[in-house]
Amino acid sequence: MADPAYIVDGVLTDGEAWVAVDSDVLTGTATSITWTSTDDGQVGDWSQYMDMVIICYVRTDGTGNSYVKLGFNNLTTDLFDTVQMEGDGATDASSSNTVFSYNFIGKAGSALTGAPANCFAAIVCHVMDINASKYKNVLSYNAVDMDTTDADESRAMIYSSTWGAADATGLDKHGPISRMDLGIFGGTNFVAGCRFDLFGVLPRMVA
Amino acid sequence: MAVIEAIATTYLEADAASVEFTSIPATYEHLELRFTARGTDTTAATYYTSLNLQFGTGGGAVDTGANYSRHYMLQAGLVAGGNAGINQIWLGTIENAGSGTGTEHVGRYAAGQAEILDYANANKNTTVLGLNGRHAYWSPEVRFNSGLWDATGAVDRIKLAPYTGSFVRGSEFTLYGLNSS
Repeated sequence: MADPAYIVDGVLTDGEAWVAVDSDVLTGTATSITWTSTDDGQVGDWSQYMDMVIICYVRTDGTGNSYVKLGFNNLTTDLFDTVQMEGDGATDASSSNTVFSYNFIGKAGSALTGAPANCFAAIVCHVMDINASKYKNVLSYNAVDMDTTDADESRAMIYSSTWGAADATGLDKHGPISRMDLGIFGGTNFVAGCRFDLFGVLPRMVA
Repeated sequence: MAVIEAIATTYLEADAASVEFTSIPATYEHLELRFTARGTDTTAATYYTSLNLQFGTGGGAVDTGANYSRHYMLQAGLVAGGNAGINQIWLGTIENAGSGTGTEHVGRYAAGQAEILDYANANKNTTVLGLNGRHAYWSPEVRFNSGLWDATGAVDRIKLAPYTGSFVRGSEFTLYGLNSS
C-alpha cells in the first residue's frame, strides 16, 4: 500500500502552517464578503488555528469613504479601539479612536472621477489568537495608489485594533471568532475582480 | 515540502522572564515570529514596555553586546512619530499590568509579527522588520519596526524578553520557517 502524501521515505513530514481556508473572486458586484467557521474539525474549522490572515485585493464602485471594514461574529454592536497611521503622499492622516463602531483594515481603490478604472488596493490583515480568552487584536497594512489625480484616496497605511463589546466602562472582551464580514464603510459595493483569501495559521506545541 | 512550517509555539502557562527558541534549523530561507504578549510590570503609569529581541549563533547563548540597532515609526494615540536606538532590537511594545486592573485591562495583550530575513546566511548581517499593535486602555499604538543585528553569524537562537518585568501567563509566541522552492 502506498504511503499517504504526508509520509515521505517513512518520515512524517510537516504540513503547511498557513492553511488556505477560504477564497472569493468576484465576478460581479457584492456589498460584503462573509466567512464562517465550519465547526466540523476539517480545514474550515477555525477553532484549530492560532491566527487568521486575510489577503485581499479590492476596489469599490463608490467614489469616497472607501475604507474596508472588518466585523466579527455578525455582531452589529461590536466596537473597537483603533489606531492607524496613514500617508496620502502629502500629509500624515493618522488617527485613534476608542470604542469606535468600525474596524477599518485599509482603503479600497475607488471610482473617483479621473482615477484609472483598474486601480485595486492591497490589504494584508492579521487577526491574532482568535480562540483565546483575550481581547482580539487586528494588525493590517494597506496600499492603494489611485494615480496623482486624487491623492486623498491614495494611502499607505498601518493599522491596529482590539475588538470588544460595550460595557459600563468601555469594552469587554469577546469569545472565539467564528465569523468575519468584510464591507465598504460608505455602503458601496466591491466590484468584479476583487479577490479575498483567508488563511488559518497553525501553532506547533512542542513542549 | 511545506512553504511555511510552524517550528515551535510557546504559550506561557506561568509568568516568565523571557522566551527562547533554540536549535533553530538552518534549513529555511526566512523566519517569521508571531506573538500576543503582555508584561507583569505593575509600576504606576508604566502601562507599556518594549519587547526586546536578541540573536545567538553557533549553538551558544544570545549576543548580549551592543551589536543591535533599531528604527521605528508609530502612531501613538493622536501623535505620529518615530525613533531610533542601539543595543536592542525592539519588536514593538506590549501592555503592562501597570496599565490598570479589572476586566478592562487584564485581557489586553499586544500583538505583532516580524520577519527575520535570510537568517542562516553567514555572510550577511541579520535584518528584522515587523508590525506591532497595542491597545492599553489609555494609550493605543501601532508601529512599523526595523532592526539589525550587526553580526554575520547564522541565527540559531532567538530570545524575547520585556524591557522591564516578565511576560504574563497567556502570552504566546510562535516561530515559523519559510521555505523556497
